[in-house]
Amino acid sequence: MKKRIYKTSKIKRRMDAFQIVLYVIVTFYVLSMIFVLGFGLLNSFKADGDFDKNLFGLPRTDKPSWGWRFDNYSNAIKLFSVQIPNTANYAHFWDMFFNSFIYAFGLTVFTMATEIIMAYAIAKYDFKLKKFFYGVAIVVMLIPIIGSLASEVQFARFFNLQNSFLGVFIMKCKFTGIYFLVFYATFKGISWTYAEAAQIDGASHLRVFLEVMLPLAKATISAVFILLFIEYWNDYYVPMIFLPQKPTLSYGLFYIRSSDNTYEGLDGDLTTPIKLASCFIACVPILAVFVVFKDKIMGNVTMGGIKG
Amino acid sequence: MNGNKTSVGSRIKWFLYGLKIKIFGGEKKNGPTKPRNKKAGQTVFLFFFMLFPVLQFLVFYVGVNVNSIKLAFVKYEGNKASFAAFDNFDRVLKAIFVNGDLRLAVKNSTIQFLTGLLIGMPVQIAVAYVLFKKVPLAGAYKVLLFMPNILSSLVFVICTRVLLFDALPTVFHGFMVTMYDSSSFYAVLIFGMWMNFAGGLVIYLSAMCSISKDILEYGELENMSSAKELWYVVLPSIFPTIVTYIIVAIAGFFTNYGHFYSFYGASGTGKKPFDTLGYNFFVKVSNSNDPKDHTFAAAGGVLFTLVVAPITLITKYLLEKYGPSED
Repeated sequence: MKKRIYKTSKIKRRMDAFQIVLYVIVTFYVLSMIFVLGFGLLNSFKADGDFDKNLFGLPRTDKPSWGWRFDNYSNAIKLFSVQIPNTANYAHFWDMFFNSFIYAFGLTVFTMATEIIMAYAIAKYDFKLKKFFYGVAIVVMLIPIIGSLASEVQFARFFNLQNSFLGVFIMKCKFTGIYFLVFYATFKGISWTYAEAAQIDGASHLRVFLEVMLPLAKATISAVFILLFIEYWNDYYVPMIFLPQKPTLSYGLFYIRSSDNTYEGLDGDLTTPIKLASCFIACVPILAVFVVFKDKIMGNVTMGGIKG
Repeated sequence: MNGNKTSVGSRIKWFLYGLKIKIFGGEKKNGPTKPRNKKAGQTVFLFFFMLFPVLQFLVFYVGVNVNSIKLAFVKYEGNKASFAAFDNFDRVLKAIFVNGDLRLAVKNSTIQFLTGLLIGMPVQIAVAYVLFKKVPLAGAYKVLLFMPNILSSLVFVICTRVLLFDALPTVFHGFMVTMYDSSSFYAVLIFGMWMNFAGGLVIYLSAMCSISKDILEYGELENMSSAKELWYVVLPSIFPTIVTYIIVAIAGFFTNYGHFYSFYGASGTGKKPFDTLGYNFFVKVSNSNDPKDHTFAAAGGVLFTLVVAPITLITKYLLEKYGPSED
């Protein structure tokens, strides 16, 4: 009890008027976020007729088909589909889920590979172009190049990279991302003595990299992997432009987002509650990643922020 | 057959070994490797090790941007391309200063930039400071503030669209957001600030967590008020993060399209009240197969880069020279 009183008094002593005003702002903000997500979640359990008349209340049971419609979620998996451009085919939920996984996982691996390779080489070896490459990475991050999308689309068409996962991975995995600096700092901080010991035992440069240096940078690598995976899972611009025939879940959400246009899925109407249910189903993998790796994600945001 | 394979394999092996000896010289049995050979081995390793990232960068960054500059000087008649001199730049400048096609986009981008910089950023820093001071529920708030950073913005877009277009008009009669007037712009502007608030806040909070305890104790010993501590102790300590934010915001003036595109897509024709420079150029490329739109976007990109690059560098220089320092 004494401890409790002490804690409370400590808080009271520390919070002055300035802090109280700001605390009210952040509380209001958090509540607004809970309200928006709660509103969507609640309505995802309603029957379509109930949703039209009862937007803010709990699901009503005025009609036999109303009430808590948990089947909206199974219907979302069944009905959430996107027509593949220039074809009569549809991508269904599991197709999009699979595409999302391949896209997020593949691009994360490719991007990390290029960044790790360059960061390691620049941090650990002396060669003529070392300063040049480091300078390039900094300049590219510092000076924004605007409007190169048109040219990128031309390149994708020229090299026939559109609608190919591998093509998009190759096109988008440039080493000059923000995490290049993170890896550079990580490798710079690892002593070269480990490598020398391995080299005395006859290890090649590649072996030193793969079996000595990468395991030592494991913590940073796994944190960046999680952050990039989340970013690419949520990305719909790149799949929309470069992978139109392989729609991802994020692109699917973009496709069905318009609530004023009635969208018909392949097997029936995708009503607004079912659209909302689709949204929350698409979040499940990322929420699972967040729950499992919460500390890792929250502890590594200083590295450059997350999400696109 | 097997024997053949072995002999071909061993021949290749011996050929490569011979090549290695010719290039790097032989190795003494059990003796130390010559430093020159070591250096050459390292060079060969680095060459192959960095080959893919460097080639990738040359083709898909340097090549793409060189092609973008080339595209800015090209005009298309049908599928036939010819040199356009400065025609595309002329079209962009006319769209901004003469016929007004991009005037609204410039105005909206300016409003978006200024609100983000003058309202969004200071509030984010101040609120991050409160959470940093470990107020009640700070831990729970931090987890909740991560939601806009990990969940797809489209989840928030879809929920907000239902709220704005379906729910709120039933409660507040006369409340209406339409795509035909400026309400469409201001609704998404506020939505964008609301979404970005959590992102910025988390970054500033992380930057504050890395401030040395000694510096913070100095503020406490001096018995500073919270506002003073924020101004004199915390702000100088997180200034590099603020500089980065401002630099990113400057580029965003020309490139921000995210929430507008997520909300409205490319639907509708003619002038859109929610048009911004980023949105306009993105739609021109992503939703059009007309090469004229692509050359227009490329010329606009080159022009804007020429404007934004020096501004970015000057801003960085000025902020670092005249901004507060940790000392």
